[in-house]
Amino acid sequence: MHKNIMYICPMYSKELLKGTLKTIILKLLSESDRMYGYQITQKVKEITEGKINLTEGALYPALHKLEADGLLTTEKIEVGNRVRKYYTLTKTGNSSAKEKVEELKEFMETLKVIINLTPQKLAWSI
Amino acid sequence: MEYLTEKHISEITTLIRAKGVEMEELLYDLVDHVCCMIEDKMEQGKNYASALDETMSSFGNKGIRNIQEETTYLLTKNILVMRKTMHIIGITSAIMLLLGSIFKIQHWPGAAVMYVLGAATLCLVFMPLYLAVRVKEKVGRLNTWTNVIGVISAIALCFGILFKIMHWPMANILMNVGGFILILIFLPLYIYNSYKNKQLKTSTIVPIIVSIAGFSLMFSLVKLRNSHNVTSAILNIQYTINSDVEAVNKTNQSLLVDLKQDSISIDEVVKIDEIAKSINELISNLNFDIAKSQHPKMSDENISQILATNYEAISNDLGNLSVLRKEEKGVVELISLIETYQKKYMQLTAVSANVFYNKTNIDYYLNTKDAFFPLGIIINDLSLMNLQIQKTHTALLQNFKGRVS
Repeated sequence: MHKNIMYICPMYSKELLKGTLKTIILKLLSESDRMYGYQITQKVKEITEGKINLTEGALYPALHKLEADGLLTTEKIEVGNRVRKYYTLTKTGNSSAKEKVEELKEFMETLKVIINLTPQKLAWSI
Repeated sequence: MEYLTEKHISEITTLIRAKGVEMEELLYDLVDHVCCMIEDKMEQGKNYASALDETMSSFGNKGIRNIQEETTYLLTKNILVMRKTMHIIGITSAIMLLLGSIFKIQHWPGAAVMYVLGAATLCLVFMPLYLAVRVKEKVGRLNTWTNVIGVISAIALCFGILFKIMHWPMANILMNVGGFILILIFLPLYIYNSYKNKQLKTSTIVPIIVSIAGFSLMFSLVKLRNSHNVTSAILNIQYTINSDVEAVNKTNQSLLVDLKQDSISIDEVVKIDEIAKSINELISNLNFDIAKSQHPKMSDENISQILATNYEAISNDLGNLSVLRKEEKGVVELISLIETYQKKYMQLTAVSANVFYNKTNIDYYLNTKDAFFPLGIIINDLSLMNLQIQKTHTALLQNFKGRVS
């Protein structure tokens, strides 16, 4: 039933993006009052200079999941003949955003240590 | 920036719905998203039609459908166990119902247990679980209500059929209620729902046709059993037997009076005549009692009147076989009376009486495990038996009359 789909991004593999998707969304939302889906995709594209392309196939399922978990709330606003759904962080969402960002930072530090290991050091430690 | 018109937006909404998006909330997101994409493209100088075309094809054939699937998956990941339980219970109860019907046809023991268990798990576990899963999938309010009403009608229908099979009360009410909810509430809602979603295509129309046709056929089957022409034709047989018995009794009465007037010694004839009369009385009492057994609230006059002229009122009901099985004034006593009569007849005429009654049926009434049997058939059997005895008796009386003259 479940297919891993459409985590299309031009530079990084979908596996890399998948684990950080929620963190990216939470971080972006914590930077602004409220955002709608298309705005989020454009924002990501803009700040990463197109290196990360968050597709709707990845974004909306994640948004709905975060909403169901109580991290986001939505409000519907009539914009140009249609309904636009704005997403806002809840209180738990806010603290969860901080935690997730911290976690990711730490993880990146740890990753750096692994990536920066030189072959000599590896050999020596063995 | 120029926004899309209302007409464009309703076109886009229809397109996205047609791709299989059921969740209202996701639909808002996607419509807005697609509109934004189109507006961006139009700002770069494209016209609406090509912008729409480009945008929709950028999703690929199943792209939009997959977004919903992914969302549903994420939202219901934690109820995966619930879903699996639902599937397993559904399959189990369906298999139990299937086995139950096979056992029932083959008259193997255990059919009833399987029916009850199968229907109970289907109605009380599977269907509520299904509803819960649908609610968690967030398919929208109207859709959820359609599901609730569909499940209620299915439960009523299923229990109605179960009650019918088990001969429990209220079966017809349940079946009719279920059927009417299905036709009058569920179907219009379902049609409206699919019309609103612009999904009036084969996959929606076929279930509608099947459910209307299926229900009508089932309804006519229920009514066929009560077809008026057939019922009254069968009842006429019973009325004929009744008036025949009456006529023969009258003939016998007058024959006996004649014989008495002929002033010969007819002590033996009077004795056998008394046996014939007591057979007549016993059988009419049995008919009365078995009719009364299922209608204890009716007055005695009412029952006699129904048996004589309004047989239709009860002929489809079940009779309680314990009435026939009682030791005193029961069928066993009746059979021994008939045997006594036959012996006496043999003594008086030196010819065998040749009374044929439906021994197979009588044995069945006495020995079957069932407690109930259709009233009309029992009364028919007993009345025919009476007619045979009384006709034989006429022959005997005429024989004596012949001897005298």
